[in-house]
Amino acid sequence: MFIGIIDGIINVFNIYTIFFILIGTIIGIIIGAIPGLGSCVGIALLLPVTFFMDPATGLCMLGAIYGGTVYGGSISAILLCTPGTSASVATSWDGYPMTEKGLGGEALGIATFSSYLGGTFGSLCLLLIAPPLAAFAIKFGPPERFMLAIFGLSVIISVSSKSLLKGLIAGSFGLFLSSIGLDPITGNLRFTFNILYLYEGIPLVPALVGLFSVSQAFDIIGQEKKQTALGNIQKKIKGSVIPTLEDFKKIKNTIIHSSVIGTIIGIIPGAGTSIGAFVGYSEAKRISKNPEDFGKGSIEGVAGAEAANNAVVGGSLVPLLTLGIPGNAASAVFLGGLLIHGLIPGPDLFTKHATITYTLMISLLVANFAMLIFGIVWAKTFAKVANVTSNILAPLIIVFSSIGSYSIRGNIFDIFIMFIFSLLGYFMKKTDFPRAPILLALILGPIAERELIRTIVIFGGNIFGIFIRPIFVVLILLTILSLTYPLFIQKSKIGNIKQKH
Amino acid sequence: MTKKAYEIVFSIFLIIIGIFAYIETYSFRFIQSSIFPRISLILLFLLSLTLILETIAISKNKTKYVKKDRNINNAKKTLSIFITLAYISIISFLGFYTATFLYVTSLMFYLGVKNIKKLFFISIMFVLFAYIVFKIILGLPTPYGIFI
Repeated sequence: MFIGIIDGIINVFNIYTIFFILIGTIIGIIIGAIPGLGSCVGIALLLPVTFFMDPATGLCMLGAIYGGTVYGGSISAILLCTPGTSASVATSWDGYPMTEKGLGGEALGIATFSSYLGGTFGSLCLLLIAPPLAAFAIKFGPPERFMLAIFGLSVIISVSSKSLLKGLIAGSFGLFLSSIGLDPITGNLRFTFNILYLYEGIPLVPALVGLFSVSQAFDIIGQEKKQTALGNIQKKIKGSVIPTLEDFKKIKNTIIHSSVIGTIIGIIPGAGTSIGAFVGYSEAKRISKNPEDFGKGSIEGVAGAEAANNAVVGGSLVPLLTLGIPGNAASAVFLGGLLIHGLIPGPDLFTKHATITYTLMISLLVANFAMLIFGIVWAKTFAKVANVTSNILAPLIIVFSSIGSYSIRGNIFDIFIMFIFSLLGYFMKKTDFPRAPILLALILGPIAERELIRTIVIFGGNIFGIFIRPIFVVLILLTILSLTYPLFIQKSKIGNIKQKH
Repeated sequence: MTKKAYEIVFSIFLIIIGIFAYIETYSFRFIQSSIFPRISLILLFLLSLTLILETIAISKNKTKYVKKDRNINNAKKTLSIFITLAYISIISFLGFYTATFLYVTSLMFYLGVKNIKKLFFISIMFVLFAYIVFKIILGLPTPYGIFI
């Protein structure tokens, strides 16, 4: 592990990698600051571009984008009361009231420092927890790998949508789509209808880009934003964005608590940055000496939400890198980034590809620091970007996505696939169907099928033998839990409402 | 259109795909190849059917309309999608950067950027930026047509 860390440090600190980490951070902050986009769009948009970089640099850039988007959402949340991402909703509860009092600059500063400290904490935990957890994954055989794929899918299904039924439908549809092309075991062609283009199946990157980026671009078209006069923003941001020592004393306990909470929530598959932010905010209120100030411009409120949501970033990469289970939709898209570089999550990432993995983990620390500097120096500039209208933004996203989709295989049909999936993603968004299960099914479907067939072949005569394998049984139970837990929550909410009335 | 209608239409679409795909599995050379797709298609069929029944049952009393946001122009969205399809179709004929310039200019104009100078400035700057970043710095392949 120590050798890996040293390798990672050496790899990160070269001009090429640092340059792309900085670029990734800036792009991430800008995308995060623009309401309606978010981490999934940011990672999906730049993912194809990283294909042409060396894997370590490409993943470092994606990691920087991920962290940058989570922080960037706080800028528009604080200054415009329009959270850039769902993870910044809680930030706006106290950030915007501070702006209205003329303390926008202070709010931005608190958010920036809290995001930096929370993000750094999460990244350090990733560095310490991931390697031993990956070593544990060596014990997984075909039944466990099959069940892990199903568990990963079940997690995203249960958290991605308010309706479990819609999530299951999306997951099933995605599993069907993943079977298009060559059968991984027999080589039989399935659902290709003699179209040569489909022999390798649905290409992942165009599907991913279409589902998340282009569909979002279609969604924001025609939304006439209320233009906030830039002059108003300038007036609202008074004073320095660097918090005072007194501010730091007030929020230090909040940041520590929220960073721990955010990291734990990130590690738990299924919870995401928004849950992290809400829980971080609640915890900040609970431990505060002045909870009555929350909602009226409390710096602890801003600090609690921001430290937690950025801590989730590092935490969510723990189950992703070690077991291939994305912690949230953004890390599901990040998984696509690993796969296009030929990197499979699991023990191999920490052995065969240890240099790349440790470089990624160390780079998150660098990206967090870059985010701190850019946030302090350019927060006001980023706020101006949030005012870019959809008239300009949508075409640019679509063009970027098109070139990204084309560039992987140099095949024009990939752009058509992107377009088809963008229509699918757009319609799914309109009807509250989650898109992440389709993406994850495209990734995990072939893995699940291959391991299922292997399991049947190995245990053919005694299939019940798999049920005495403890890890397999635990994964079954976790899968059932992840699918039934939302139902319990829903029933208890209905019960509470009935009790109140 | 009500939300109920959108959900039912989408579910029916999935059911139809499911049925046709299931029939197609009988043409696979190896029965082993059909196990996984059939499982997913059966699930898809049953779940979509359940959703249709649930949607009809739940919203018998209340009809949930898709909230009409005055700030959203659906006609603009629809035509923008068609313009995008046209753009993708002409990329391999005209070349990526030429098609992109025409697309960005026309779509922004349609969406309301009426200042011609601003329009052309943004379009030209974006195409230049794309060329420098994609072609020169990253060396990404782009489709060529009769122009670049």
